[in-house]
Amino acid sequence: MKIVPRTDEVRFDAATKTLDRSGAENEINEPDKNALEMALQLKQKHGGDVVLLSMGPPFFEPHLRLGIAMGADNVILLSDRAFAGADTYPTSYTLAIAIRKIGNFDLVLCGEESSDASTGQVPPGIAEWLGIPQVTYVSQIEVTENVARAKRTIKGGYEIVEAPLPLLVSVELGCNSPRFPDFKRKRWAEKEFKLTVWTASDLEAEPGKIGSKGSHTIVDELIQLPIPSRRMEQISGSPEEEATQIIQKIKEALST
Amino acid sequence: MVYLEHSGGQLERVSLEILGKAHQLAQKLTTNVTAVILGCNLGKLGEEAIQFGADQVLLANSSGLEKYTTEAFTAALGEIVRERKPEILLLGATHDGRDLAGRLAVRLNTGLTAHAVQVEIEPETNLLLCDVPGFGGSIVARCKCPHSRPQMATIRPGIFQIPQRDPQRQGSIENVAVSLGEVTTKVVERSVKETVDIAKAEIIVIAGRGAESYLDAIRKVSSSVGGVIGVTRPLADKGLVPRDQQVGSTGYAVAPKVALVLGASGAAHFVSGIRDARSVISVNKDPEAPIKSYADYYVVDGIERLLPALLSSLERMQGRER
Amino acid sequence: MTTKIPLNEELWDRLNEAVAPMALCYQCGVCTAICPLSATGNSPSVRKLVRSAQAGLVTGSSDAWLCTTCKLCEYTCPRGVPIADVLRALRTIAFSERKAPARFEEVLWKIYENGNPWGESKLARAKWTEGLGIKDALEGVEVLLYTGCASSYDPRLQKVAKALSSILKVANIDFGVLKTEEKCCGDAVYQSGEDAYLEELVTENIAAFRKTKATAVVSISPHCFNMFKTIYPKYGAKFRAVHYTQLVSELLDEGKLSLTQPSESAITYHDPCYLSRYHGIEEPPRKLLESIKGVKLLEMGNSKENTLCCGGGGGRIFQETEGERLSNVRVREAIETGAQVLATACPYCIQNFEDSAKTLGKSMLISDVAELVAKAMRPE
Repeated sequence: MKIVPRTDEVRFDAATKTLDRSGAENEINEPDKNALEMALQLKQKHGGDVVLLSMGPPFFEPHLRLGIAMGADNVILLSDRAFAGADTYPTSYTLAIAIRKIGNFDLVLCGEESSDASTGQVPPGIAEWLGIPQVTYVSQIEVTENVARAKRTIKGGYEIVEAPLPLLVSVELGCNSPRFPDFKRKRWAEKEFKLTVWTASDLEAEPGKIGSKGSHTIVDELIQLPIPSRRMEQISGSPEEEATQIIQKIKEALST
Repeated sequence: MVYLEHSGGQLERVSLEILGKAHQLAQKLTTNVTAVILGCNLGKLGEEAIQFGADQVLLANSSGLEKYTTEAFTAALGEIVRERKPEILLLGATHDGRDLAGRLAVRLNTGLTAHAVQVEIEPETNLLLCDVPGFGGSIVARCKCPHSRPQMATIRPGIFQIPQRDPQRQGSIENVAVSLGEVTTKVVERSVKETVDIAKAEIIVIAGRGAESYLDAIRKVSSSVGGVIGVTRPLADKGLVPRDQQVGSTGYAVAPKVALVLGASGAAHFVSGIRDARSVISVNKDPEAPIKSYADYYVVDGIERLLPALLSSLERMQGRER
Repeated sequence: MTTKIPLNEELWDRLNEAVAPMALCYQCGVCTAICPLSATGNSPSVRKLVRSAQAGLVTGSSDAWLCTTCKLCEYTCPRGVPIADVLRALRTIAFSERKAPARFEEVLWKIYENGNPWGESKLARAKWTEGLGIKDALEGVEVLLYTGCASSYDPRLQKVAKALSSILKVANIDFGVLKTEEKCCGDAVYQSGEDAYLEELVTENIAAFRKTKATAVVSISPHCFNMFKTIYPKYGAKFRAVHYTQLVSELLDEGKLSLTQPSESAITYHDPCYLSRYHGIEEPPRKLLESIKGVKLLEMGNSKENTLCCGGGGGRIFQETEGERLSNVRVREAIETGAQVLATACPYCIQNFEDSAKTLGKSMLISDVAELVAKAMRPE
């Protein structure tokens, strides 16, 4: 689970060419909510435990407790200065070794991508580190015995993929309706629940594989895309007049 | 090196787009473009790749590659990359492309940038520079992979131009054998409908939240003007129109000659999808809706009033033309 | 033929605890008959819902969610059954069992994450106040003007907020707005039957209101007003809850406002359910309108306690409407009076009526009482 800033509240400082996230509200990455909902539905059907895993700074905590309020059983936060500056390679590595440490898992569910960088690369990366199969962009899943049947969205439709457990699944944004948290449980989650935090040494992480040291890519600079200048001319009149003008403008544009 | 996707005996549109770009990049680096095609019964795909800009094509033909599975394709492409050691590896940022690239980058211990909207060669270093959008599409990070190889990137569909096909173009085609390893996933069913490729269209009529209940009328308008319909995210979420027709940062970026936007307020993540439209015409009943700043022409009126007027005007025009 | 229906003892206990008076219902069915939704082709069977509650039946019916909580049934019930409460109890149970319609849950998420049911950025909440010199209530005020989510974000309704603030300024009221610290009053949460988050939200709001030192909280929306008047005291609120029509009417009486600008117009006033049937506030808005020179006030057939719901209450404003919209029916009724203006004092009513007027293609002007009063204040 990743906690991300509201994309419309992040401001770009043109002078320093940096991103100012300080004014933005933080929230659970939307597809991660869908992933959690899918996990909770599986738990309702099959039993088991849902563990929320996240890599991030301490301010992630209250949002992760919200995941407990939704029904998750446990939260493990990977938090360490050494994890900072990670691109998707060390991120997937760190999450994967944490998953190995948790052990005894049947399914790893992730949101298809995060709304900030939107790479979608971490889930396949985790699967590779763990050496388990993956199915991405899943909208529905069924599990029988030790086999999962996942409905995967592809261009123009879908495919049904069967895969053995343990399996990694990346969940499609909007494929289900994430349940509203149980606020009674939330109070317990905030006051009594003990959240586990692991550092790099808890994980026995290889120093060269985490954080900025482990990253293969670097960001040279940030650019705010200029809004292409538009004419912003208003067309008014009766609906009939407006319709005529619209058709006229369409014709003009097509003839270029 | 470019990984090409294909279906129905033809190369995918995005694969042609990145072939064209790869050709440009290769010229700057004075090197060649090698295309990799994995699959079964690859027919004339090799020739097609050459005609669109590949200098060399590697074909891996195997029944195990008939349908995309992560394990088989990662094994195959991984083996080819380890053997041929390209400087750069480009893939289309399709679902399969991103599925494959994400896993392969970790297997190859290299850097991967996602859904780039621009790629260039940095003159001093000859490194691949990728512009990667984030935060809903309005902010772009210029990334590079200084040390690891290959420098991998997935390219957003619909950004680059499809190059001209040159039937006279020559190149080499090589069949390569790959070992697929153990494949544990199985595609048991596949349902693909004829999709509307909104990236191809010259005219897109986009329906937003405010036009949700008028999709039938909008379809009529769209076919009258010879266009296709697109939708904003909420309508795709509801399943009213397939996601392949969703325009915006989590959908597709389109560059039609004209985008007629009906009932969309102009949220940033939608607008980033139409930024490259040559002309944007918007209809929205809300005079304060932000879309007016992103439109060349805007109408402040209700969709329910405009649509009947548009339809009857179009009918009249077509009647006259007959 | 008799069918054995499994009774759920636990459910019956919970319902009995919540709404014991449901036992009064003797199944006459007047509620179903009078429910305004019966005119739209998509109506709940109110009688059956009360019956299933009485019998402690597990109900997965979506009917309880169609209710706009207009209370016309309650007003008409010969035995005084608190029908809206019964339906709300059913919603509470359904919600806890995750049987609420998905849209309701989505709205709750938006309120939780953004402080408003529209999912708009919290940072944009006070945009309507820009350039108007409105005090930040946290500086300490006598009267807290509670804008509400609809009037904060919807451009059409921001005009109402602006009109009201200009009235309060002219009358020299020491008022302020919570600006970006203002959060949803929680009406949609209450209507969804979710109580645990409601408690958290209400408690936060009461604390925020206390910081302003205001003794009175004036609302634009009758729904916010109802929350502050009936629900917030249950969580310890001590402030005086007022609907703006009450306050402005008082100001007019006290001579703090003079409506000098005439307006030759025939106006019909629609009573919002949450003002008339819920709280008996029927005269103040009418008095305000009649105090405008040249205004002829026309009454619709279904007026005052008999007002016809616009369809926005009970969380319905956030839902899709199937079948004919209630507001269409009401706008038609308004047109029949011969009035040029349909006035009301509720943002949901205005949203619904504006939509209906456009759909019906009618040129009826929809106006909030505050807008009309503000216009009448202005010198030429």
